[in-house]
Amino acid sequence: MDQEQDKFRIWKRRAILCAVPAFLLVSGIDALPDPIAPKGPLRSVQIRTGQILGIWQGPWSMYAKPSVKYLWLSADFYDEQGIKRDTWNSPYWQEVSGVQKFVQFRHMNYYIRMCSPLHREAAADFANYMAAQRETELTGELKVELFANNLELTLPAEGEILDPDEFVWVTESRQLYDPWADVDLEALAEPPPITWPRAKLP
Amino acid sequence: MKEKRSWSAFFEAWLFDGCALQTCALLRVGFGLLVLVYGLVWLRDAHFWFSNQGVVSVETMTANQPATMWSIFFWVEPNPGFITICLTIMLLNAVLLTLGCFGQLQAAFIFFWLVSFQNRNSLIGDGEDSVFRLFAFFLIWMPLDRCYSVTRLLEPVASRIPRCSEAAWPIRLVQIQMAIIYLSAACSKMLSPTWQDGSAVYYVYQMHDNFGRGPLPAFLMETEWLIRLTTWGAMVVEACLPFLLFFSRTRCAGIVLGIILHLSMEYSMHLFLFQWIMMLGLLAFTKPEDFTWFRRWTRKHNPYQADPLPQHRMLALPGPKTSDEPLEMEEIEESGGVPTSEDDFIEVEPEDFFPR
Repeated sequence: MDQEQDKFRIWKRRAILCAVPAFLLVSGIDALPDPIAPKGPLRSVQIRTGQILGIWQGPWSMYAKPSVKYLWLSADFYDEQGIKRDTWNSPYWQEVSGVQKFVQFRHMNYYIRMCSPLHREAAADFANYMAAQRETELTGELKVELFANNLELTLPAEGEILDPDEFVWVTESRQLYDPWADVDLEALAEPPPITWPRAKLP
Repeated sequence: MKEKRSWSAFFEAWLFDGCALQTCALLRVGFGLLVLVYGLVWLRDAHFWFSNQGVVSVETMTANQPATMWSIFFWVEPNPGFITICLTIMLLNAVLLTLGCFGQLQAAFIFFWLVSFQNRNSLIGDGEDSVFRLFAFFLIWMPLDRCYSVTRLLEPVASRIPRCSEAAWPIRLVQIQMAIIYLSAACSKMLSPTWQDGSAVYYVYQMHDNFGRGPLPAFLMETEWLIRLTTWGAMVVEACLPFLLFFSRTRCAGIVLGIILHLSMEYSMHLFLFQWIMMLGLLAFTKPEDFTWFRRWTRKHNPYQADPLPQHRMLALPGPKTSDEPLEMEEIEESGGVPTSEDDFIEVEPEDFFPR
């Protein structure tokens, strides 16, 4: 019995001695910044292993590339006749209190992610969700046109530290979801309305 | 002549050395409380984020993620009721973990829930979610209930497992993870032009949605050399922390420096619970002697506590000679202030307790 226990202990020890360096390798490669991370099959194996075990992490940039960008979403609601019935804007986080920022931290992350062109399908889901929330017997079926808006500070080259008065801010508005995408609207090829909700220079 | 130890022997000793059970208890309580706050914030908008009536469908999420990402909500229809039940169970797991009731099992459940919820809607997550998930994974392997726990309290004194030290490898995993985070962050910053030229902190300061939590003196962001010094200073601290934390002579300085860094970021930025989970991670570098020192210090500076009897002071850890961790006062009191067996004693120097 004691011998069996000893055997178990030895095998457990050996397993730990292999598992810890393996963890170090998988996590270490995973956390390497993109420019120096290895590419190819090793990377792919490491990523899959991390995902299956639930221990993936990715590089820790922590403001390594500071981009001063204020992002917010806006939406226009149209009824079946194409009449604009309502508009909506996501919070402008500069104006939100500290407590609200804490409680709505997930919303902040979500709206920022939604502004990325990588999440087109998620934008469609969000537009449909909002339409479903606002539909009533009076409005009938609603269509939502979703926009990503941003106000970005152009960083100077050569590490210059500019005075706030010299900052150059660039604004942009992009359509994220077009409810009429499936409909042939070429005849009505009018550009979508651009909204500038509460756009303020900081 | 001293025998030279090989790297593998050193590594083995490092992994299987005794760890402070108090450190495990500290991580357990801290992590349990943080998960509670984290889960309550999720619960507020749970249906909005995770249910099939929410903002993102399971089909969209699975289409945008690799097949290796798993979640219980990919297999079971995430209707609002099911989401509420799962989140409530997770919160219950967090409470039980905090109390030390089958801690390892609770940590395993929390890990399962965190992976499931985070993969169900990855659009609301960021780096701190990874830290929470990884910490839950590490806690699964730690001796969490061996002190300051309900499990230990309910055990009959006679059948209690002696509080000898356990292998340190689960704590080492946390320490390795902390080092990886700091090194990765420092490395990313060193590769970034704005951090190289020293202007980064100034532009991070302009991000008013995240920055500007507590007021900062105006001169801090008006003096060019001070801005560059702050930028390079932050980068150097992040790069040095892993080395400071792993060397015994600089370990305490590393912990203090790290906590100051995170407290200053907590003061100036809105980053939810990130700074708190990182500070908890820094506490994984504490050793048994830190707790002994802290206990002595509190006894010395507590005017309401009578001086304990000398015989109490002579009690020490029973069993193996791997640790010189003294017994807790409550254990001494439970046994009537007298040792239960000869093993309750180890040899100690009087100077340890009665400094000259």
